[in-house]
Amino acid sequence: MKKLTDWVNETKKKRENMKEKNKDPKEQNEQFNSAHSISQSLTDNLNTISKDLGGSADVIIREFELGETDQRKIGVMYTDGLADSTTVQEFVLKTLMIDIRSAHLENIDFEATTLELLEKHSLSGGQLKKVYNLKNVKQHILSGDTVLLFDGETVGLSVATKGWKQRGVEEPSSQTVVRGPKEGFTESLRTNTALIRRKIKSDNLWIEQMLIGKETQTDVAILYMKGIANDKIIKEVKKRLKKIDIDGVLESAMIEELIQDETFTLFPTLYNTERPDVAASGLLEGRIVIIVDGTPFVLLAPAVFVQFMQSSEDYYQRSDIASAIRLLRYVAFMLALLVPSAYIAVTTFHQEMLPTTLLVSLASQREGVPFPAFVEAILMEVTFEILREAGLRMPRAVGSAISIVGALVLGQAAVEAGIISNVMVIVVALTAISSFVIPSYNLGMAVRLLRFLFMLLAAAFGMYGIILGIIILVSHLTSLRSFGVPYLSPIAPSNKEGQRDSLIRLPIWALISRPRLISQKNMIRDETPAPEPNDSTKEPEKSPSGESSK
Amino acid sequence: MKKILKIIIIFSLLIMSGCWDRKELNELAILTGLAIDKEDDEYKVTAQVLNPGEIAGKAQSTRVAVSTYEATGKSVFEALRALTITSPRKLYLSHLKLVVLGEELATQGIGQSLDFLSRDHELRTDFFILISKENDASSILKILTPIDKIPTSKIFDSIESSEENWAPTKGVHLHDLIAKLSSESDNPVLTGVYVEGDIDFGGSVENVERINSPSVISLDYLGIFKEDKLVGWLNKNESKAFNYIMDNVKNTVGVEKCEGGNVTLEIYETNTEVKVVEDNGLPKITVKVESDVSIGEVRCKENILGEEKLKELAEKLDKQTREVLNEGLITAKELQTDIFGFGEQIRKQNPKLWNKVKENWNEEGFVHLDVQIESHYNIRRTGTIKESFQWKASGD
Repeated sequence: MKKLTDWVNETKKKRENMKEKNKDPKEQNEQFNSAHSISQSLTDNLNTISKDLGGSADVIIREFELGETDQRKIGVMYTDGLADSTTVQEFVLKTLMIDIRSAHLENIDFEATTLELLEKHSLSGGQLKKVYNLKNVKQHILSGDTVLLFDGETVGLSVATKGWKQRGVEEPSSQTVVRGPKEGFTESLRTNTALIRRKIKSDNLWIEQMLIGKETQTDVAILYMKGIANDKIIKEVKKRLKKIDIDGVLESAMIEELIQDETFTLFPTLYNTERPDVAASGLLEGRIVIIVDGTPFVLLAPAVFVQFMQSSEDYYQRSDIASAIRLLRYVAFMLALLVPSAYIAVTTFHQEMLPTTLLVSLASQREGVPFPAFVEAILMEVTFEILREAGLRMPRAVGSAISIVGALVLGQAAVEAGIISNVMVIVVALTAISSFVIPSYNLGMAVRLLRFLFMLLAAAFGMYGIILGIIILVSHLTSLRSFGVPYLSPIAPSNKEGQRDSLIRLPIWALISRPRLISQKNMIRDETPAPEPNDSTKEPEKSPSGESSK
Repeated sequence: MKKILKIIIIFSLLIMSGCWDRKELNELAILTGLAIDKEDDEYKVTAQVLNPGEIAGKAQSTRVAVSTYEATGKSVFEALRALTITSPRKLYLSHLKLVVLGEELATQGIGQSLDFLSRDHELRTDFFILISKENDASSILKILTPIDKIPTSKIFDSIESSEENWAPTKGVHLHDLIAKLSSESDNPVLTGVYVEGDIDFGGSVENVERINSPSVISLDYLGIFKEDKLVGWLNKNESKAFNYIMDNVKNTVGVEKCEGGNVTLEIYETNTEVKVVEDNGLPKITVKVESDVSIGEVRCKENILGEEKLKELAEKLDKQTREVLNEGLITAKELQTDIFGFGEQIRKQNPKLWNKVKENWNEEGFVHLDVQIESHYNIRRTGTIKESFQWKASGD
């Protein structure tokens, strides 16, 4: 592992050297120019911008004269598709070209510049910002604002006209619930922060924003509850985000991979969700939410193992039912991880563990199967993984073909041809169904991969190998950290308060404190007394009603 | 370099050490029954091996569900290994359900043939040990049984169910047997098993194609041992006596005469206590049997369900039990073998006394042992009807 990081560093160094050597003095000059301040000549400015943007078709640059008498030139620039065309039309172009003629500007200080005039009196856009150099001008244009440049002025004006086609708030596709909010995050960062704000109207919800990605200039927002989240973790998250120096961030997974504690683990150490209610509950527990513009998946840090086995619906159902279902998920987790390997171990090493009748029925199915149990299992599991991947990637229109090929051809035909035994099909099916029970997709992936490792161990060492594998797995899990929080907490290190909401969920009124290792301050979250049977209906009997009414 | 070395070592573990004990299911001959006979000086071992495809498979043919293989050898182990010549696969012993010992072998002593069974790691100890009565032990494994395709599992189940519901049988596991054999104050018993009908016919599929199979395997009463040699057989009452004294009875029925017929009782709870008292330097044993019964079938002319009548009935039952128990005791005394473990009880309850009497215990101490039998019956229930409809019919 160390070697890999060394190698990465070396190649980085080499590339930097190459860059410096290859740098053309002309290019350097140009780069300098583009970041240069705005010049007095409007035409020059417009030409530079047009040239810098390569004359891109979607960037609209217009130049016209303001008013009837006052021959001042003005340049308007916006990106078609990013800027809302009605806003640009109504509040910028119409204002500047038509409305301004009927405006009574007599009383206005004629000493003032056009910019000040427009800023104070004319432009009805909501958000105005001054821009002082061409680099910013371009940035504003490319993020959907409309920029005005004036002849003879070195300051431009940016009008917020952002507005592009975007997906509305829809039901999340990855973490579905029966009962609970049906809204999901969208690709728009602002919508996403709004969705969270709508749930938490506290002034303690702080949102910090930064740009990540040298080329993509992606907005990334960090949300946390001031006074609940651990300051050290906030600092650490910011530190790690600031360290990111990459050309582009297209999905939060890229951020996740760049800021996680441990690269060489199959287990996710940051939680991702599409659900605002999950993000909000994370915030209330003292977690930090990272929202990346352009993806509906937001990140939660720090993340612990039990979190990946929880569904938001656990809190929307009765606690006893939710607890039972949570335990069922852990059973399914173990099944998904161990069923094929246990089958291999028992049928090839420990036949004495099976009741005779079961052994006989297993043996009868294996009569005539040409492969050893291990090869059979690997064949079927790999086939299933291929099917699953195919089902995910292929166009939806041919989706039904996969189920036919998968279920009929591979399942039934393979058994009938005597290549695969019936039990193996059951084992694979059980494993597959169990792995879908795991609420978190990326934990499910970890289980998928680990299963093959366990199968290998089982084939070589039987039960002994499986136990050995579990020991290694558990020690690996205990060694993992997510932003300094032990991955297996609150189970290891054990914390009784935290365990009230881990493997099981106690009633809401019993969940008094926030997770200890995550929040570390303002621990009490719930002071509701346990509900008691209300005696108010009985009270009139105790004290005669006549007396009490007097 | 070190990392590569580590990886190589781990992988060589997987590749080289693995799989030494690996056996695929279709490489196993699952053995469920083993019969051991003595032929001259050699052991003849018969193994009943399952044919899984015929038991649980989809495409079943007319082939039989089990096959037997025979081999002889100087020891049980050698004979078992010699079986590989005829058996298509390696024998897998873990699912052994039954060991049948030949009567001839049993009279000569079973101790030597048991060593392998308790020594081999593959064997569990939860199989039953039986003595084949009259026939060779191997013939027991050569009878096909209806309903249960695996004959040994049929025998296994009959032992278990008869032990539960019928007092005269007793299933003996290997560790019980060995414990009794190695104790000087105790002697083992083993249930007998025999073939009813023609043995050769019993091995053919025709046997199970008829509604009433001509050849069946049937359990017999107990064979009693002195040390490791079979010395005789108990009859039904004597076997019952043995199980009563040993407190093995879980549920059984008893029949008692009454006027014009008899009454059958279900004994659903019995508790036996064996007490040792020292009397003039000699042990004296009291066996106290306490039973809870309910009336299961009435075939009497008169009403026996009155309080007085029931008391009378209970007394009759007490008397009958004392007689039965005595019968068993006398037989054991005649054969000079303490199958009841009275010696063991004395050793437990009064070790000093045991030290004095243990010399020639079976031949002298036990034969002259004073055993008092007490019995007490509680009639708890009379079933779902009170009076028998027969009384009214006869009264009219």
